[in-house]
Amino acid sequence: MRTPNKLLFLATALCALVALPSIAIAATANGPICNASATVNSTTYYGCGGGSHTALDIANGTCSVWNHRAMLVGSYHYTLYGGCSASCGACSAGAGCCNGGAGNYYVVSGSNGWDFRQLHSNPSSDTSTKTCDRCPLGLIGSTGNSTGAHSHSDNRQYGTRKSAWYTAVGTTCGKSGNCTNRVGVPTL
Amino acid sequence: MRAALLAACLGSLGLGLGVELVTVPRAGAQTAPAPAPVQARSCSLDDMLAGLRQALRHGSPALRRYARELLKESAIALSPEELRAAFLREHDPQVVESLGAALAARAARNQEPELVKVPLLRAVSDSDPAVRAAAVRSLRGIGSVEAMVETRSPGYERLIRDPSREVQQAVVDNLVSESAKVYFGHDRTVAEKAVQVATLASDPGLAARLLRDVSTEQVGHGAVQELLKLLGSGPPEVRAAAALALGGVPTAEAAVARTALLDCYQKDPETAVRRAVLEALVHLTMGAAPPLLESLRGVASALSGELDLWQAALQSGLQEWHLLQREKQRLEQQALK
Repeated sequence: MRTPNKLLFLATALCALVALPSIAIAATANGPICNASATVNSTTYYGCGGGSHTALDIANGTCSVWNHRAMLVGSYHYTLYGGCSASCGACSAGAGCCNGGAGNYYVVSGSNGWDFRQLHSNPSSDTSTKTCDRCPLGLIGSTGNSTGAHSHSDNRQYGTRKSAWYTAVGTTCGKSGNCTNRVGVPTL
Repeated sequence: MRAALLAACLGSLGLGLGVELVTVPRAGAQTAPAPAPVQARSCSLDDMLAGLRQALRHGSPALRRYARELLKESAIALSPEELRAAFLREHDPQVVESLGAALAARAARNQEPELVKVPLLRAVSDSDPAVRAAAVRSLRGIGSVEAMVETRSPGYERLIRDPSREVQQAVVDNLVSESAKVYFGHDRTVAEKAVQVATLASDPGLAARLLRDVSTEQVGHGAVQELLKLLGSGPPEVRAAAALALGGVPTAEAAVARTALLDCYQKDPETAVRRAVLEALVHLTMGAAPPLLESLRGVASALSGELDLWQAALQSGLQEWHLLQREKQRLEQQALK
């Protein structure tokens, strides 16, 4: 191949790569509760030894007291799927199990089918769709299919939950879920 | 001492950085100075700014980035009045950008959109174009379009009219970055703002970049009409970029976009525009593209190779646009060998 052709191809390829808008990125996720007592209770398995979970459950033993904070570091768009009344106990048939068990939840939609979700919030004056950086999204609660107040967070691609985002940074049961602590690097 | 203060600030934020990472070598120093004792337990804005200036002047790219991030992360704990005053009296564009970014970060963390008014006012009123551009850049990475609407501040449609190319460039970079990194292309307001700004941009290169790099997957009918106008007029690079933008419009607008693209392929004299039209048609129709592409064979003999490449890429059966694009690039590379 002649050099001009090579240069032309290189320029074309670079332009094309720059023009690709949908390249997934690795974000950083901190804990959802700004409290030193916040702890990771479930990761790949419920209660760290039960059935498959593939998400992080973080709680601090309180309900409707502490803000449920947006976990991603940096500004992202959190879309609210709300409408569930506050709950601090186990799911029972009816309003407490709304939104298919997710309760009040938020989704950050990334590229190529990736998303990051935070589930089970109790409503507060902060509950709304918003673009923000680690802002309050509601209160730590137990809406949806939940047995007690906690924040469930997961990173999915086309609806399939992935575990690499938290295993990659060594987040295991018992680790801190404080908002000053990085708990994962979700793909978006 | 400044480096030690910076280190103390970084440490106090729990960033886990050692003192050695932020020690700034002094120009002309004969021997490495002994590490200054870390005494600071609080991070005043003045000390952080001194550390930032030193990092910007003498630091490595990593240190410069850390110093900027430190200020942004600290913004939540600093008084907004103090930040605002420091921003307004600053004249070094790099420090203006960092202080503006700290105000913007605080706005995003604390849901205080009013704070973005400060850099925006400077972006439209400062006499130094470098400072105006820095003020615009400081809003990168937050939901700036939403904040401008909420605070009824001057928007990007006004800033793109700035006579300085640097300011115009900052506007375009902000919109591209916001669309891709804050909203991942899913936000209608940002996409429509980008189309509006592209129609106002005096520099065809900047207009083309906006149209090419901001996702149009959520635009409404009005923005599509603007894209159709750009497809039919303007310099070739803008027409080509408008074609690519039309390739990504929502399903509700796909029929009108398809008709306009087919018409453009028949009439546009520029090969580059026609090439973009082919790409847009594949993007728009994906699995239904092969017969459509075949119907265009013979219109432009110079693009028969391009048609072959797209047909070959479509044979792969890939169902995601970015994968199909890469497959086409791979085939292109193979053909050039």
